Amino acid sequence: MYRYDEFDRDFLADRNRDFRGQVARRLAGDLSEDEFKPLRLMNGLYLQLHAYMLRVAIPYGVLSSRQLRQLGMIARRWDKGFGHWTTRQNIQFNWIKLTDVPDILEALAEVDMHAIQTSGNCIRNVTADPLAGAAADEIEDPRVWAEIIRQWSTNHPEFSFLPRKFKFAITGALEDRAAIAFHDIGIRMVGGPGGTKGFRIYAGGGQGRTPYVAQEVKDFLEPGQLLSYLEAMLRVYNMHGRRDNMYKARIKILVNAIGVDAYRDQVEAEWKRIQSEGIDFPAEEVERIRAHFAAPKLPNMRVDEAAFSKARAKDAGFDRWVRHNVSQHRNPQYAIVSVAFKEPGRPPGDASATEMEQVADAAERYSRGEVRVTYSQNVILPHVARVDLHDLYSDLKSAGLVEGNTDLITDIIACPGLDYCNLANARAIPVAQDITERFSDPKRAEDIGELRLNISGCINACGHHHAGHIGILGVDKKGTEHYQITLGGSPGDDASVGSILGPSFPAEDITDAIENIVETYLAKRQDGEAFLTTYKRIGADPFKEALYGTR
Amino acid sequence: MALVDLKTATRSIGAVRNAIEVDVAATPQERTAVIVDAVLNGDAISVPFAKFSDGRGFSVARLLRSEHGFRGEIRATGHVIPDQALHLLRSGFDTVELTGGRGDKHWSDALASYSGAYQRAQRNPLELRREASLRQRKQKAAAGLGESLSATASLAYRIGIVAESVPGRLAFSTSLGKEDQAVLHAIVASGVEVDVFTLDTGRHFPETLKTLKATEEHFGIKIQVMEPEAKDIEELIARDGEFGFRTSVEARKRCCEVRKVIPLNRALKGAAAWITGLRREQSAGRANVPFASWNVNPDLYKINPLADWSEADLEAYIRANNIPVNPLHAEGFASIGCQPCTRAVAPGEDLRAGRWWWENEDGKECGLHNRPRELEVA
Amino acid sequence: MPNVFTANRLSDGLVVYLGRDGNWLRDLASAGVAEDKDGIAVLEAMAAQSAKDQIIVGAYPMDVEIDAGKPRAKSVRERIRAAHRPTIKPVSEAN
Repeated sequence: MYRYDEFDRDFLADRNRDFRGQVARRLAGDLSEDEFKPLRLMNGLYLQLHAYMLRVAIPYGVLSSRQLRQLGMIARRWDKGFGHWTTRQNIQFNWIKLTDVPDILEALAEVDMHAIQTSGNCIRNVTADPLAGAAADEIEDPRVWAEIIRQWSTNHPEFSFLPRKFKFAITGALEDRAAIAFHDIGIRMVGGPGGTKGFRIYAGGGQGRTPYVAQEVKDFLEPGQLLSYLEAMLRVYNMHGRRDNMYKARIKILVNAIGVDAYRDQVEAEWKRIQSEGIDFPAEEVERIRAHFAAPKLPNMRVDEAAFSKARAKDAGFDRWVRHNVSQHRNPQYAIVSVAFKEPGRPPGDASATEMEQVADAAERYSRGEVRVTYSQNVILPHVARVDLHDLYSDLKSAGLVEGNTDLITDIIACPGLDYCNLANARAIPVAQDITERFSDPKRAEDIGELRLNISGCINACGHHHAGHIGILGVDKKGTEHYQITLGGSPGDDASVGSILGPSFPAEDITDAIENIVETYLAKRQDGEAFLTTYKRIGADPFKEALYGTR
Repeated sequence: MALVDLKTATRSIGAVRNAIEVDVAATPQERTAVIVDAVLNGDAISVPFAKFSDGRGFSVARLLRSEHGFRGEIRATGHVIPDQALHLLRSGFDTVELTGGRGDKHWSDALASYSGAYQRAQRNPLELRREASLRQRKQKAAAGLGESLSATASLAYRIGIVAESVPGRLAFSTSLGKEDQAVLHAIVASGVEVDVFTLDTGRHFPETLKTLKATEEHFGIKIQVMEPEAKDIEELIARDGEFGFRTSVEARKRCCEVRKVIPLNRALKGAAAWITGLRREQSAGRANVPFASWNVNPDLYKINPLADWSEADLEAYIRANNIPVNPLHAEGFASIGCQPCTRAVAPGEDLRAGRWWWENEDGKECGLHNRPRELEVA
Repeated sequence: MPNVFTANRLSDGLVVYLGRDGNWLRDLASAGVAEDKDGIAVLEAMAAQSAKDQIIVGAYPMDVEIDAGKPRAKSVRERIRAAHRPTIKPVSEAN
């Protein structure tokens, strides 16, 4: 992973000194709240329902166990002992004092971490495939370019006061695990002419009240041209994105208003003009960064397949965990392990300080000290020797983190909702808890199969309900919490926005409604097809009929 | 109305230039029309910020510079805050119109708040990440070379190591002082090909010039003589007078610049390494001179093969090898520069105490060996 | 309709309510209640001054109902704020 040197540390120290000064000026009245707000947001600090919330950047979801331990320390010392993994691979703390923030940022800097640009109308933390560098289907490691984009966008002199927030996602694998289609700019690494590798660029994806799937802007871009191209894309947006209405200020609105072809023409014209301005990093600098992501030397760890099968046969929990939470590593002696923060009843993606430390220990012992945070609010141990899987399982079991439910109905993505968030219309966590408890029988969840269920507490869609196979949106109906259901969304290669099924349900009926949808699917599915396949085949009508027909 | 000058981080004094406003939503054609007016009238262009969070102005300044090539003053007006000072400067703004009670200090503090930047911008007053990476690579190489040099005591062998480690042209600047005579001897003895040159400032002691001739004869080599540009000397004397260097440190440094630094840069152009005769013992300011270091501008390794030598080491080497020296050394001149600016030193005095002796002790350098990083503005 | 003024404290962000004496209190039940336009205007002026004095951020009036002479939050959102905690048990308290 990328390691800071003197330059990066000095930069971070400058940044933290800068923000400490801004906090002091705010407390002294030299900065109004109106002026301070964009500055604190650019340092990840929101004012939420109960307190300040600090969102800490986990660049492209990559953490070391040392960093994870420090996050645990911060949760314990300055918060109430827990944090929340976000869909953008970050972590947020819910009970932060403004006056403590400069010290917290210094504690983060001790482990080369920060909260820079995790919020605000600027270029946000870049997200990437959480399996980068380990996945069997990888074309090229996207972390190299995610880090390059992180550096280029950090404190950008021209793009720190954009019309609205701006999110990048990048994947280097055949399967998109980074939901690139739902980002302002999505980047896919692809093979080009003559065995070269480059980028395909998409723009204008997003969720919120007007969800769009991103459209292709550039079919193939040489690696050495990425930053100048992005600079042209951002400049066109900065100049022409709407600033009169915050709900129409995202790049998706610009791209869809003028059309992707017109947007592309403007970008290409600007790009031609600026290509020789030296915006792209020199080749030696790209290589310096690339060297940080060299594949780890994994020792030869032969696995006794017979013993492994025996262990699975003896322990149904272990067997289920292997089936759902262990995936293929590019080295056949190794595996990628998903640690689920999703057992029935848990607020999705919440992790206690103790759990952070336990995962840090496990990563140190079994995964070369490497941890990843995923889009679905879980944690990945990317390099586990298969021979160690049972030991790892036992360690995680004593920590209570062995729910074997990756991509099942109980692996719910949810925003913090009205329990914490200032913008929410309805609670999301209690709904997730109810549903996970209803489907808590692992055999039943497994029988239902792959089913992504996403919950957002308001139309800002932080729970990505538009991209859920089943999406739940909290709405405020005359002062009471109601929930609207969408079906058919998907975040991956078949990216699509879900369609609203019908009238919303009050809180007490939503779990029954979900169960009704699941039962309809089970009754209609053919040959073990997944929920989304059945939905695409039969459409919304059978679900509507089952759900609303009897009313 | 008051302005903050972003390049100097000060409140600008004197008359404020008239400015023509460019709309942030202007088309390229409309921007061109504003530029034509501004250039014809000698006016500044002002870019208004309706609200500090409306960042279009940053792109407008960048486009005025990089797309339209405007080189005049670009001024930010309206609602901008000191926390945006570096964003403004780096995007191409020169000045900010001060409104309300915003103190100058917040602006100068904000301009000094960062020492580095990750991305190349319209202007690059801060060290860029890529420059830091290059510096780190070069410094690492220099440190490695320094280690090799310290591993041997033989001066000629040290010169040989430099030739082996640094590909490209080697240059040696000699002042014909004792140190440089010893280095020159080692260069000749090592058989390494080095371009040897000296700076004729036009103000040297006659003894120095005699030593030059004697040295060439002794070693059987040609020492290239670099002279200041006549035009530069004329301008210097017209501005500061014949002996202006006595009136202030600034005037003295201007004299050194014209007579020494500019000709030196000409001589070093294209060199991969620059060999000097610096010694740690010479002065407090040189106490930490390394064997090898990397110099940003011009981009070369600076090699100080005598760094660890004592005065006694030097004397012994000169005696043992029968090297000709400047006769002024025998009269108490330790470090020898231009005649009007050098005096003899008393026993026990700092060896460079006789240079510009009327100035303060700190930083008595001519600028050859301690150039500050330039605040480059594209 | 009875109203109280609520805000978040600048220094730590915690939820507070404006008392009759101009102090900001954690307990909604102790908040000063305005029964009419004039009463709201008085609280609003005090809140504006507190914002100027860097004590609170984002003050706004909220509807309350009076229960046994004390104000009580009406909306789900305000009930959660007044409780100073989420409606669910955080993971750190699970065991």
